[in-house]
Amino acid sequence: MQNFKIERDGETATVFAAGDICASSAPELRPAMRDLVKSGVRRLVFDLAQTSMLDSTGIGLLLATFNSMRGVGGEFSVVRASDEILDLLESMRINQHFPVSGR
Amino acid sequence: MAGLDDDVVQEYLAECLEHLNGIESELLLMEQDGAEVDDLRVNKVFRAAHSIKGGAGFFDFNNIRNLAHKTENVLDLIRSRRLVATSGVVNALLLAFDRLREMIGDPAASEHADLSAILSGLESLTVSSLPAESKDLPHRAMQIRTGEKQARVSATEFDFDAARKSGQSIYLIEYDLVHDVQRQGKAPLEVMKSLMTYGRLLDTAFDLDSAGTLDDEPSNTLLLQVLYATCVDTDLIDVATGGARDRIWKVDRTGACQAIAEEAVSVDEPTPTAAAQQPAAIVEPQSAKTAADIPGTSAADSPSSGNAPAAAGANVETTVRLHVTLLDSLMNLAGELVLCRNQLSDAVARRDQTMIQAASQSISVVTSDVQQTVMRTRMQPVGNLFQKFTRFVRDAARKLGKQVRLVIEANDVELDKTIIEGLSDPLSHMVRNAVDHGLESAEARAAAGKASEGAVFLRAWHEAGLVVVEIADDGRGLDAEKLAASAVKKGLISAETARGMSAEEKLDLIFLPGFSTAERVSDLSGRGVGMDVVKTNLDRLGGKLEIHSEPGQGSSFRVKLPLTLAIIPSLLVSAGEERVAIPLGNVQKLIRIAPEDVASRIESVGNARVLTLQDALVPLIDLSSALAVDGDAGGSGASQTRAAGAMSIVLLSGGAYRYGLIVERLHETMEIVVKPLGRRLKHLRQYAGATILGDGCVALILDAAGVASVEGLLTDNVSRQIAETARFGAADTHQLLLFHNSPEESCALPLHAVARVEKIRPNQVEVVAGRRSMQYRGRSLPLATLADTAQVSALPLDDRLVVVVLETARGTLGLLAAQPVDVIEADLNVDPLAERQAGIIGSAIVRGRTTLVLDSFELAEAALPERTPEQRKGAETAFKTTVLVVDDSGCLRQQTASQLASAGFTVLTAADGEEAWQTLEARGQEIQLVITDVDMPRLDGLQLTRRIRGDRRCAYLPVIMLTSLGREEDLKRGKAAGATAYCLKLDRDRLLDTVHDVMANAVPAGRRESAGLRELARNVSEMTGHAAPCLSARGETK
Repeated sequence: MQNFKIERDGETATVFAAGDICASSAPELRPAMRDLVKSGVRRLVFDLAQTSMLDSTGIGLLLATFNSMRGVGGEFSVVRASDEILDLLESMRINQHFPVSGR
Repeated sequence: MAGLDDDVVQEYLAECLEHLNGIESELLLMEQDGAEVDDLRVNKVFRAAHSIKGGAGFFDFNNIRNLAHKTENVLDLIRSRRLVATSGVVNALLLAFDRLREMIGDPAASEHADLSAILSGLESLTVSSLPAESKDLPHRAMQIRTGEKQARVSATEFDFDAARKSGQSIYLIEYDLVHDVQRQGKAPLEVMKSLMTYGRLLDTAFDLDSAGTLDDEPSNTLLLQVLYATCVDTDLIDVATGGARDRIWKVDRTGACQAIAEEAVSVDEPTPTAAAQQPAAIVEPQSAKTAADIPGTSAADSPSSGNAPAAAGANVETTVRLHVTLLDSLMNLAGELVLCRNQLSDAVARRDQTMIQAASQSISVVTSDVQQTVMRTRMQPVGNLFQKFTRFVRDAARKLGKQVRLVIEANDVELDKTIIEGLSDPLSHMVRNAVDHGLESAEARAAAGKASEGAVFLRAWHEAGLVVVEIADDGRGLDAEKLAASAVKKGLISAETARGMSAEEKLDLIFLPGFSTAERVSDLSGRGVGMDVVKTNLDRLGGKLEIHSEPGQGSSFRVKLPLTLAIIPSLLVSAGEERVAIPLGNVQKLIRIAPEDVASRIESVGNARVLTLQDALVPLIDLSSALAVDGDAGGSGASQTRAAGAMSIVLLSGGAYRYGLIVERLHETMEIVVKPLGRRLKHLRQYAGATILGDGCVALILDAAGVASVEGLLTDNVSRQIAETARFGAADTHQLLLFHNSPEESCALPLHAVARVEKIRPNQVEVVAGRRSMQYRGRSLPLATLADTAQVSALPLDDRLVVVVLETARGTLGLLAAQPVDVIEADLNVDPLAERQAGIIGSAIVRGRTTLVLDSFELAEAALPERTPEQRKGAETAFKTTVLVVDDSGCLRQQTASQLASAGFTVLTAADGEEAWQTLEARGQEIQLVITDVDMPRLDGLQLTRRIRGDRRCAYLPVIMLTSLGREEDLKRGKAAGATAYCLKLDRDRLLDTVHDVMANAVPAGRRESAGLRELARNVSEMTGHAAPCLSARGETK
């Protein structure tokens, strides 16, 4: 079952990840993200409105996506993170790499 | 998080509050000291913040910890002379401590508090308030190196300093999120949270390379470096942080790292002198992130600043600190008592009269010692209370843009704890008045040749066994003439009265209810509480208030207070078998009226009686009926019986009341020990407490203000109006509906009980299950005849049949009667019937005919079964009552309005008191009830209520005040303002009940819309075929 949805508008794509971004969902998300970058997306937004949890693998995925986007000169951001996720990302100062905003 | 009810947590919270006590004055002194700040002082405040932080971290109160921490940082800067305690800095600190106190008061909610503004305010202080050249010094980033490698995290010298000062070490921890966290089954958030519990994150940085890109295989490592300051020791650091021991380094103040795994010899802690030196390791100065402005530091935009004036009077302390010697002497006395008891029981056993006497003597000595010592435990210095005003005055002055100096002179004067607590609110009010109204602006002062800085004095001293507390200012003083003019303008006194008043009496005008409410709507003053309330509150404390004023030189308010309230001199009086104690402080006069003078000096208005006293009219309250005890002359015949004998009246006066209490007997005065009433009796506002008399009987202590409000003597205004009506109105004139029962029996009902009169046909009357009823306006209307309850002739059911629709507390009732029907205004002299009959008050001569005067309540009681509240709600609203709902919240107003509308009321609404007043002015005739919120812009609920009470057109209009849960203050103020009842906001069930209760108990006369009366008159005249007599619009007053 697909746990995420992608809305694409030209070079911009928004990924809506439902449930957790974690070790079990990453294998599915990862190739999808790769395809997006390959197909010329230069603005990638992770919408975490439906995301309840982020584990280490999930963080790794976000960073890898950011690294890939940076490699092609694109932008990456995370929006609508829950308070908990926002706390986590901010305490890790991940927001000094890419913009992170809450709900 | 540890449970909030946990003893340890409670102890911590109590301790925090203790730490916070006195902080305010220390901070203010710091502000005064400025650059010359006293280390000891800063240390004291610092320690407070520090201990709060420590405990908060332990119990997981993160917000409290963060705020305390940031506060501590600022204090540290002040301590190290890198920041001057300017008024801006102190303000931010004051706000921060306010907030801490708030959060500690409600730790459960503290976690959800939004502290961003205040935190960034404090944070920016550490930078912005520094002298320009040193600004970036503490924020210079230091590089952290592990061996030759440079760490991705960095910290500022400031961080290092702060950590060192709080005894923390700094560690560099490199986590592999995959290895150390994921594979250990932990969530990253968990790890970060536990880090924040034991210390402080200085910086965090990912090794982005370790994450790889999407093209790479999912990486097996994800490196996160954390720079961490904590008190945790090296040997436990891996356990505390969950990091791998081989990837944790201890960082010294040069930025060099030493792996803890190989830390055999501990790294030298930097010596304090090293702090002054420039660290050698600084490679490139980076300006750290700082907020550009200082949000949250100005008093105006802080959410808590609105509460600031209340802070002085806020919390009542539940614990007392005592000197050990005092406890020791109590302990000794307890020992003495035991000895005395032994002596006594021995003596009793031996029946040795001499020994018994000796024992009794020593017991009496020990008892008075105990009494004195215990009293001393309750004594607290007034100075402590005064100190709270330092902040209060400072904030008020800032807000008003005035320069004000507070001078405190208390010289160890002590007062009973209860008095000190009760003094807080009235003092706040008077101090606020002094700053707001008493003192002139700096310009005006300069123009008057005074120093631009105004002074407010708080003084306390002993005088003749009392304590005098004085609130004085050197401002413009009170202008007696202006006060008098203003009172005349507001209709509180007549111009004639004003002319006859002495200057002192004119000054006392500010205590009149309704005086200090109008026009003053500055942010600080004029929020509803007038000087009348201040006076009432002081009365409760047994305080007497005096005003002195020297125009142009300033004014002073002196409060004379007893040392304690626990033992008070009282007058004992009796009502029936009951003896009641009246605190002497409330007693103004004792009056005895000789039997022959009773008739000339006592006048009645309806049920109310007034006493003529030196040209003034004073309302009277009968103690027996007020306390519902059976007196010698209880019941309705009281006045007649009394008329025969002499009358003893105790004249009571206080803030907003002055009335005579009719008592049966006066006894002696004595000192009584006040015992509080139990919880179950607390709601009885007539009583202030109880005491035990010498003979072992319990006597209740009367609360003079309570009796006045329970008896409906709300303000002087109302009583004055009653009195006026008594003097000028035709006291016994009633509007009556006349009708017949049988053709020979003429009956009358007070018009106010009658809603409508309808002509009906006999066949409209239905009999179901033995009860008569009829269809009336789509409902079933229960019917009764007078013959149902009283021994009168049966009503002939013929074409002269009418139904008189009565609106009663029980519900709506149709009384069957016969034409002719008429409405008259007549003097009524009701004589009791030889034999009492239910439903009939008595007989009177009306238009030369003996007429039965009926009692609508008794009729209803007999005819209508007790209803369930639901039925009541439906049935009683068959007759529309027009309600004015006043609330500034559109949503709440709508909710209340629609609830009432659906219950059948006609609802008018207003968004604030001013609008409500306009509505009352325009449509007052229709409105029978006002339901109002308390806090509203322009004119609040209390002011509105006072205005209603103060206007004779609507003084009797019932007012229900909607209050928030737990706002006891509101209740008190509401009562004082003259509210009829209260209801909790959003308590939908209670609201309807309250409305019904209020409407049932309201004095319906006079307020019944005269439009309605006219309609009724028309309705009658249609039926009778001749024009109804003219109905005056003047309300009848009962």
